[in-house]
Amino acid sequence: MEVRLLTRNFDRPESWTLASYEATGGYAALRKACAMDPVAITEEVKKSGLRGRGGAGFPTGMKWGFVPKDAAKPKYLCVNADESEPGTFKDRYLLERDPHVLVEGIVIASRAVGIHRAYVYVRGEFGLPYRRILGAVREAYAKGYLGADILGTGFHLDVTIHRGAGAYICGEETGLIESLEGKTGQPRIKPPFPAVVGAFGGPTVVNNVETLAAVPWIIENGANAYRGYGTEKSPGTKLFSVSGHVVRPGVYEVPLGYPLRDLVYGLCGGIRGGRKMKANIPGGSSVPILTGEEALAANLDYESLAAAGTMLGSGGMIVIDDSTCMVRALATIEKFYAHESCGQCTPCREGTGWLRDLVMRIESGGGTPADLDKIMSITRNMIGTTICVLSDAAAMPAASFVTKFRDEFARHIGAGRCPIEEGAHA
Amino acid sequence: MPKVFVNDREIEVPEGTNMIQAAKAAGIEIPHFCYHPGLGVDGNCRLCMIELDGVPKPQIACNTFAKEGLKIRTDTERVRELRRAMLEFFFLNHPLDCPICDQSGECLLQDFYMRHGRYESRLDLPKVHKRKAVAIGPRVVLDAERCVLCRRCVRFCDNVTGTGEIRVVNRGNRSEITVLPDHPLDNAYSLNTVDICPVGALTSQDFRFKCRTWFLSSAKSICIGCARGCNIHLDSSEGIAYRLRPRENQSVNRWWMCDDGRMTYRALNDDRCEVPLVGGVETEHDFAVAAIAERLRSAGGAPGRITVLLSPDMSNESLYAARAFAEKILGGSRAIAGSLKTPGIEDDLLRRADPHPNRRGCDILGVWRDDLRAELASGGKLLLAIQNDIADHDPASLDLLRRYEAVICLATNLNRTTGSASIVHPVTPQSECDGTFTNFEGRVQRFRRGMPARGDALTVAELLARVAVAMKHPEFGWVNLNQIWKEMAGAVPAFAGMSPETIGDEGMEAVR
Repeated sequence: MEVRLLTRNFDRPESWTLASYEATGGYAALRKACAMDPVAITEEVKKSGLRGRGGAGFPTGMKWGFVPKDAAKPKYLCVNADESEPGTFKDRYLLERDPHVLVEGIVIASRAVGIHRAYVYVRGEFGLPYRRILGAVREAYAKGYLGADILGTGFHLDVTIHRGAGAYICGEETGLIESLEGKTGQPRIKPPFPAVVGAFGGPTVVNNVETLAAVPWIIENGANAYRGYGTEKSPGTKLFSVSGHVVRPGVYEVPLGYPLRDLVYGLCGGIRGGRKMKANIPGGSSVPILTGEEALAANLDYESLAAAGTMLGSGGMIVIDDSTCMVRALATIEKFYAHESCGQCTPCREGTGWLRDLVMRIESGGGTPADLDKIMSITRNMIGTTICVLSDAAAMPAASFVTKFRDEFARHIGAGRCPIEEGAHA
Repeated sequence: MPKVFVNDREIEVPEGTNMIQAAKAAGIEIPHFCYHPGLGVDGNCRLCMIELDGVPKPQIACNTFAKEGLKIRTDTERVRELRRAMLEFFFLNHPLDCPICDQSGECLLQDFYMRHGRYESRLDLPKVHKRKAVAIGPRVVLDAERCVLCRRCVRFCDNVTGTGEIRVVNRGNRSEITVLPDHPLDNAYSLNTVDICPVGALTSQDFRFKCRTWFLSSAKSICIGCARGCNIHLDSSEGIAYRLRPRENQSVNRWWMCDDGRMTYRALNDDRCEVPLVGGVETEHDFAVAAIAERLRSAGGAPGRITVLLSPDMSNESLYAARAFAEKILGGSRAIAGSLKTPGIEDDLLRRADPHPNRRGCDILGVWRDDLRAELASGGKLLLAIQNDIADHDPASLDLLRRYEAVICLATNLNRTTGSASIVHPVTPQSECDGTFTNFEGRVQRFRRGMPARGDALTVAELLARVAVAMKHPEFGWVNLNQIWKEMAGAVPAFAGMSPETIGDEGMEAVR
């Protein structure tokens, strides 16, 4: 069953308007937060166990706590709305259907950390989400939820909406900051981390849309109530963007720890045409793939999926049925990462293109048996060797596809054509 | 200072030292492309991977800084494997055109492959093609296929010259460096990008295809382009100078030199004075020396009859020897130095307006005259001009030379001044002898002989000693550089206590 904490307003008419949001009790959490000591806000979020929903799953309250109290430079909040991971579209739903919950989360987070300037970095291709968040920010200014002296507390916050130009890498937090500063979107070496030196040299918190959208509920209902959902180590709910061969693809909010089987076969209505689930990528295209059997045994929380050899990631679940050629599926993924590699670090710049070319050669019938070991060895040299994890994001699918579907890759190579898809490339 | 351990070898390094430098100090090479001490850490090449005690993932050495007790390893199987892997990635789209690549022999990719690579090739896919032989400026040529995208050149133009001409465009393995339209790489220091380029991506328009690098031998020298006295390597082969490259000296030029300075090597090859000329006719050395001695003797010993014109292009040793010659052999004749050369452009990086390497030396030896024209106009019968080409810089000054009954030139190159002289004898430029210059800050710096002397060229001191012998003064002269310095250090207060050894490769401040 869905638990709709963040998606509670999704089905309301004109849910994106301030009128609608206030009608369901919106901005009550902000009023409560304004009466709280900023430190207490961070403590409440720490207690809730909220973890970053962009993919890395880093504890949110701890991230806020890393910001130095007495920084000489201004502090910033960057909202990561550059949702670009293939298979992920939950932030887009949040921006389109309930932008005010994000605005409220921004104000609460900023008050907690002592930030007076927030940027929302919106993916360049997001037209409607951009207009909705822009509209919400304007409404919030008009109503005194943003700007000078918010709700008479003396706290001031300005929010700027910044549109990206369509690069996947700008969703990486330091790539985002570089892009925001007007530079080429290329991740920075760490340390220093953004919490110490971030945007424009100031301490910066970078949070995902869904993460901040969870903050108002936590403040309003308390950390304990939030911990009432999910598991001990993965508390709360998570939005899953389910795509692929299910009967009802879409965004579903379920408590963490929810059985994958129930999401796919319950909420999503099972595999279209009654076919078999051949494979499942649970966390966005960059995480290791699971076979259908592995997936059916897994629960949807950080620890269970790690135990299954994959990651929760952004919750972008791609469901693959048995009519799919895994070589072709991998080729599609590798084309994406080769295209999106920023080109800064050698293993990623060269490795992503190499993987793509090798997989495409197998796909088009020109592969050799040695290619599979070569792919495995290349991925080993790409994982953990670069500034950011785009290299890993390209390598993990390749390594897991080849490991788990090696027979199919071998048959593809042996036949010189696709053994599964009729009419696929000869 | 923190102690760190590189492969169990203990070494003490200053705070803020990164592990590439620390390992280097311990005599261990960590291969790297993007890190350069003058450009800082960029962290993109990923070649300098090391393992740290207690850290599961390999780290980059360039961004790992010394702290007490830090233990790093550069010799583990994982490090070796990663180095091979990174080199394989670099070679994936790198053309194997070493036989026609100008960088061959001084290419870090070649060197690192031979020292740390040596894997079996498994590249069997077509390479990505990029632009080749593109003039990105008047002096620098780009081959984008050879580029390893370390961005040293980008950071040089951003952070050192502040001109920002070079950018990386495109992404992934289509990334390449380029210049913006209508903004060529044309800053005064553009050729430094060629030096710091670890591979053959950026080559010098002037040097490319002139000489394979393994034929070059290198001497520590000093640039004569201006009063900065940038420390340089003089690269030559078989008596021909091919190029000048900066030599690191943190007190003078750090790692850099200007493009104009680099081109001064041309005068070491072109229009050289190699054979003595008497009355415009090539003669034997002995005959020319006798002729010079005879002229000087017949001009008469009284002060005022002979003017010895020195030059701020002469070494301290030549200036000292010529001054002593004027005093002792020419009966206290006047020795003056000056310049009619137009000042150059000065900036806040390296270039100085003063276009001579040793004006400060002339000052110290008390021979410098600001108004050279007036000084020459009041000259006597005979002018002995040493390495001073006044007529080339200012054709009107030929009139000044015509006031003298005779002009004797001791010169490195043929020019208008030598053209108006009755006797010309070759002397060695700084490339063909040992000596010192004193830069504008008073820093005395050594240059060393890198090439054999051309023709009959001798140092000024040697030549004047031979002339002195011909003038019945066998006592005049010095055996070598050390002996001149022994005398100079006693006679010239600013040089007190100095010797070629103490000056060394880094130079030494003259006493104020």
